[in-house]
Amino acid sequence: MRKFKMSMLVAAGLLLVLPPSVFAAGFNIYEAGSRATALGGAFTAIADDGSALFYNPAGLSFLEGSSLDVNMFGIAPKTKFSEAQTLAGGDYYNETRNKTYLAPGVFYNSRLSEKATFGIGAYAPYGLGVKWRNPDTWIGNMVSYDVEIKTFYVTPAVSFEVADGLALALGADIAVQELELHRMTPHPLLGTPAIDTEISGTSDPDITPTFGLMYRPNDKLSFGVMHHMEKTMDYKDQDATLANALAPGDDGYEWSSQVLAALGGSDQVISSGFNLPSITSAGVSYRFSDQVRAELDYVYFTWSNFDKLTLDFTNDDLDQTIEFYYDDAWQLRFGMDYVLQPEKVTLMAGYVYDTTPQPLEAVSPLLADSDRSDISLGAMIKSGDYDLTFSYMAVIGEKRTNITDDGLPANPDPAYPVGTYRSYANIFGVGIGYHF
Amino acid sequence: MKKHLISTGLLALLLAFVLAGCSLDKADNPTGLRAPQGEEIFGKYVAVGNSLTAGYEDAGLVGFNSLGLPTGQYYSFPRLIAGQLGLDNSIGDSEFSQPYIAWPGVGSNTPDDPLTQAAGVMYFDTATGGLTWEVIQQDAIESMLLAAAVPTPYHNLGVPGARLWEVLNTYDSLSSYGAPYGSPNPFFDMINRASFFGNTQALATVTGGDGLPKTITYQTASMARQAIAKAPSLATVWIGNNDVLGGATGGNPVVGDDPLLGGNITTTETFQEQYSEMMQVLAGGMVQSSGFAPLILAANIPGITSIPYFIDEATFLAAVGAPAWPAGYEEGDVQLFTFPVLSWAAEADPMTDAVPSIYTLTSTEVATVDAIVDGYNQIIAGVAASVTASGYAQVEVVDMNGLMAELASGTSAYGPTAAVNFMLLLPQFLGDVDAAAAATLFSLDGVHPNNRGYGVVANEFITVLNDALGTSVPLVDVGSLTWDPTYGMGTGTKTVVDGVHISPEAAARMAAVFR
Repeated sequence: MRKFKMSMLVAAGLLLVLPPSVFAAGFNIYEAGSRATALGGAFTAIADDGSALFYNPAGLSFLEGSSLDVNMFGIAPKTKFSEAQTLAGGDYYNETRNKTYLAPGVFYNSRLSEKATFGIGAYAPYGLGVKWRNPDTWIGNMVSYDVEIKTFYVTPAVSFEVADGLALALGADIAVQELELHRMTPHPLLGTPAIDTEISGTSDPDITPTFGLMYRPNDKLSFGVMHHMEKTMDYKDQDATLANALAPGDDGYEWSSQVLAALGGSDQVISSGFNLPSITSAGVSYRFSDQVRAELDYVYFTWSNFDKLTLDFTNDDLDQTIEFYYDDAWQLRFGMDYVLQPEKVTLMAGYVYDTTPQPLEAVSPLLADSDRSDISLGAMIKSGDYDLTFSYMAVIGEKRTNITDDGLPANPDPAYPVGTYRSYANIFGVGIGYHF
Repeated sequence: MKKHLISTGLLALLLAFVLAGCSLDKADNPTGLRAPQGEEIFGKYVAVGNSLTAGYEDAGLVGFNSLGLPTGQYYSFPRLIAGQLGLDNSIGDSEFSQPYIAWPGVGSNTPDDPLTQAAGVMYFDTATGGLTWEVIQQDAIESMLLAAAVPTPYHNLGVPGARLWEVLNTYDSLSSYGAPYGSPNPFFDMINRASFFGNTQALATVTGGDGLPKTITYQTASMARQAIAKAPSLATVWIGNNDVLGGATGGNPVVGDDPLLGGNITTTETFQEQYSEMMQVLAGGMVQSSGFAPLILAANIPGITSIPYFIDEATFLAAVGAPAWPAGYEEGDVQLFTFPVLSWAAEADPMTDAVPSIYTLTSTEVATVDAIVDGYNQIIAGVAASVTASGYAQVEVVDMNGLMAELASGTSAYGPTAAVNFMLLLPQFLGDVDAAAAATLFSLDGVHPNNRGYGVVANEFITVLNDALGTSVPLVDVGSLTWDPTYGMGTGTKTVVDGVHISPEAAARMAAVFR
């Protein structure tokens, strides 16, 4: 019965090869360094390890010698969906598969001179993985049943200590993105999956400047500001595959085979493009004692520039522009260090309040974003030239019901299931630093 | 040291909280959606029915005349309603899609070559003063189907010639009601497109006449299933006319469900069962596809004998220009004549040829037809009430029978009795085709409305819709709708000035439309 519900929008389903909300707040991954993550990402004002290349490259000026930091994060997201009640029932439930996505953060920095420090880092500041169970029967499979996005940044930067305690940094963000999306088009009368669409591709590299500023007037106080610019990810001549999900003899095969033939066959070529937001963070850090330090950061994302997604197929019948409705969004990040044993063990904790840029009508099987509260913990153990950092962050999204205050679906497109989404993620991180 | 213990204790508590927070159980059932109300239901509208829903007129289905100007399907009452609801009803894969057919349209087979040729829409030939049409090859029809590539079912699913039984059971010409009797209905191939979608049998559970649940079968490419698949919140259903019409227009109505035994009018017992099952499947299916109880506007059956296709004796005699038909009539107690009788009369000898019974309805036959229509309408009202009571749909009856009576009596707001008169019989016809066309709501086939007539029909639906929902959807400006019976092929000025001129072939086409 629920499958049949999905039979309504086949025309749109055929055209919406990329759905309107591939990306959202959860698409940003603010976790580049394990220590920073343990501090709730409140790291702009202190940025005292190699991950400064993301959090604030001006922090490089206050690092001694050279170091290599290797971080790895395991991100385990989970989204659960319960359909809203209607006269037809509405007891459908589904959830995403348990899958852990890996995100790296590798940084190297070395002092060029007394006043100049160089660093280069590779990390993944944007990513998404939402893989639903039971893809054939998932009532949101017209929008997506499996999406994965990976965005890799390589950031070289040089930081200059332009005055005592004041550093300015300039770098470049070189970004490349990979995208893979799977979705179904059901038979318009039978409701059963008829065409399975897969899009996969790699964007062109995009290079933009990045900036950082840090000011440490004394041993206790530190201010920091960083900025990563907006980016445009262009996909040129990428693959899109439309596969017949039905076999000859299956009910509805005539339709799917004729539609595929009319579209020019299974293999399609697509070019696309969209914008990523800028990230600006400003923070202040204060050391209350030899043991306790705290930091508060305000982070702002210009998600409103994530306005549309252009889809340009070689088959012009499939062309379209998908409008987004995103708003700019902000986060408050708070973190604390507690030195348990000087030069040996430091404990860390953090809290994040993360507002969503995603309006209710864009909540979808691709990403059901919401305002979030993140709580983080961690410990850093130093031994000689090495340090080892463990971090854990719980990302707890508020439940989001895509029903308006008037009691109607927020998105009138019936491809979007209506109900309550609950999302959370566990992020485990480990980092090893080597100082020389 | 004490501070260390406190801090680590806090961290442990924090960790416990975090892990608890990340072990969410299955999400609670969320707040239910409320059912759309008022104008909120306007977004998804679908129409089920026969030729009257399809926008059929002038004995054919066509969307554009020879000049490419819109007519017929473009003025179907569902499309007009969609426009008043604010839906995008443009040609193509729009918010209200239709199976548009290009000029010269599709009407019926041709007598000369019924297997390979087809006749287009009937139009008025100003050069001859008669009715004519274009002849096309049947294999050219496919190229005339302007919306064949729309990948989902049409919103207007009206199929010319469709009977009630066919709403659930027919998906192509070979499965149409007339197929076993040598009269397959090719419009199902063009509109249901089972060769495109495929078809299989589906099951539905309905309440039978005994009040007990029973399982019935229906077809997935049927009109009903295609309507359901659109997940509509609003539907119009106008079906059942052809269960009685063919018997009446054929001049010899016989109530009976078996054509092999001569039956050409569906019995009320069968109509009751079929209409109830159809409405239950539609209502239940729409609930399943949309999640909400739809509003269904179910039109009843107009009085058949009030349409211009039937003329009284005085009109017949005036048309043939004689005070009487000396040879008399095959049937006694004749009350009405079918319009093609005029074609027959033009060739007949009034002194020796009695008017055949296929051109006449006796008062008994008229009573039979009227009683059947009354019976159908009582069934439609009863089923509407019972389905509404079930909670699965709000079914409101649109009283087309009352509208037709109003038009026939001249008490309608749409004008005098001329509104239901046949253009070819109007005084204006003798000189000015445009004036005659403007003075009638019916098309050249004498059964179907013309473009303006469909505006009147749309307004009847909209009036009921507004009453049911408390909305104020504006009525169609009927006066702004025009109809060109020459289809751009003439000048609008008749060059042959005479009375009724309808060829035997044209008469045959008129009669063939409603078999």
